[in-house]
Amino acid sequence: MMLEIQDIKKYFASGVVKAVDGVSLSVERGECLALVGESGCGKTTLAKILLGLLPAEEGRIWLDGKILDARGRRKIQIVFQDPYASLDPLWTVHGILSEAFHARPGVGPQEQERQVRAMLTEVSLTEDMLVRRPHQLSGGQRQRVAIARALLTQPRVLVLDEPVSSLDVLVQKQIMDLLRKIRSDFALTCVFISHNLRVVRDFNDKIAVMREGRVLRTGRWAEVFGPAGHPYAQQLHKAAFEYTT
Amino acid sequence: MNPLLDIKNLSVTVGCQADAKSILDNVSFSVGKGRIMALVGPSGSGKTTAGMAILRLLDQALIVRSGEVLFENEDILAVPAQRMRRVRGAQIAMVFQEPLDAFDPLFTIGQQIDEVLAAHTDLSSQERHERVLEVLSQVQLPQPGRVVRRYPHQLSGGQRQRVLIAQSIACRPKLLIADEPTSNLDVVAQAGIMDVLRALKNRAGVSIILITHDLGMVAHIADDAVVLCEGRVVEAGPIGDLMTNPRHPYTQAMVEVFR
Repeated sequence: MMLEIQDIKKYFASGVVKAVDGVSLSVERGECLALVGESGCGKTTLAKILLGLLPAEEGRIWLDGKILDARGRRKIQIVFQDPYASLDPLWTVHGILSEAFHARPGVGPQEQERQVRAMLTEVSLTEDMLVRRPHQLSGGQRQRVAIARALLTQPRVLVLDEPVSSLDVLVQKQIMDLLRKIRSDFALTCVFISHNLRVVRDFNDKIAVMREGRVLRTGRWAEVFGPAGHPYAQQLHKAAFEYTT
Repeated sequence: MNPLLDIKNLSVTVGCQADAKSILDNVSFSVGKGRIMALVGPSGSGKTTAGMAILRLLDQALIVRSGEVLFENEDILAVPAQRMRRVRGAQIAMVFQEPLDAFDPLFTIGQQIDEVLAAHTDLSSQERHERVLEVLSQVQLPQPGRVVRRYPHQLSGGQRQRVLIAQSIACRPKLLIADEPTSNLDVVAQAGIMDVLRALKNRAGVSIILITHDLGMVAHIADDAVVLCEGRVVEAGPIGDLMTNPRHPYTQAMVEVFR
């Protein structure tokens, strides 16, 4: 098992708000798990706990069979929802990508340079973009830079927190195509957070439906959203797909 | 029958020099009474600029170079500013994309809807209070008596968007411009807002311009659609035709993604 989460709890406001309330999940090596649910159900809080950005009240996390510690957390990277807010506006693309090597000490400058340029090609960006700053890039290009930065750290697990929801429909498709390609190229293990079931449907192996801090149902698409699925999962499915003409 | 809104050859540029960048280029479309017209296109195609131009709320750098915006056969680009203030809010209202930015965080929901009614109607304080409760019910918010006492930060994103719609319909406008009203919401809240917009059209006969890049939403509730690309209308017609037989490459790509 690549990632195992056991009985994680995170409360706010002296326990009044149970943001994550006893969540247990597991993700196999090379598997992609989707966390879906309404705003405020605890998806992003759980991601922050995985990344060590928030401490959990209770529970344990294992990465590749070892209890997750500060060193292990460097092996979990995230691509945030808003590419406008997740890149430092004062840095060039080259600086942003080179910073990833802080998580990989021991890689020499020449090798860093080679890997940065190879990664640019991987995410379909050109070398002339290395000197640009985030405001000189489109939304889709910024998200490609954020993905490249995460991949350069050679993560064991990549957390994708609503990676396309702030982009327009056609750019969403381009980024999802890119994520499919890198998932295959790097045999990535992913946790994909989204409320958009259309995006989740074709990308993920396993779905976990969250509501009010709890996981209601985990399984493959048909198990979760089919006739035997949880009523809330079916409600989510209806809300997402009732637009179909 | 004359349309409620008829935009003819509207052109908007950044600045007024001869080589000024064009944001809207000879845009023409119309909105029928009681119809939902979707204005779709990629980011930066001029959708929001078109909505702001109708309300004469364009940024100072954006200049209307030519064209007419006929609302009930009157060119509202040419009416005096004072008259336009009466049209804005009372006859044409706008729902913005980000409800947190659209509210004053220091005033309650009730005060903010009441402010619109006080500015545009002669209703008494008691009548205004009743109207506030009525519009909050109309957007399907439970317990409107409690919602009026809440501040914007005490509501969820979906509730705030419903309140914003309630505020915009308080004066019974004939035309509602909804700019990406669901793009910051999760799927359940999105479906709720769709129901509210559809009910406004069906029960109150409000015409709606729906600005979006979400074809799922358009296919679900719109009657007609206009596709904008780089400030130009590239395709327009009934939504059924557009979904089954898209002609422009952008529309074709959008329909393909949607499928």
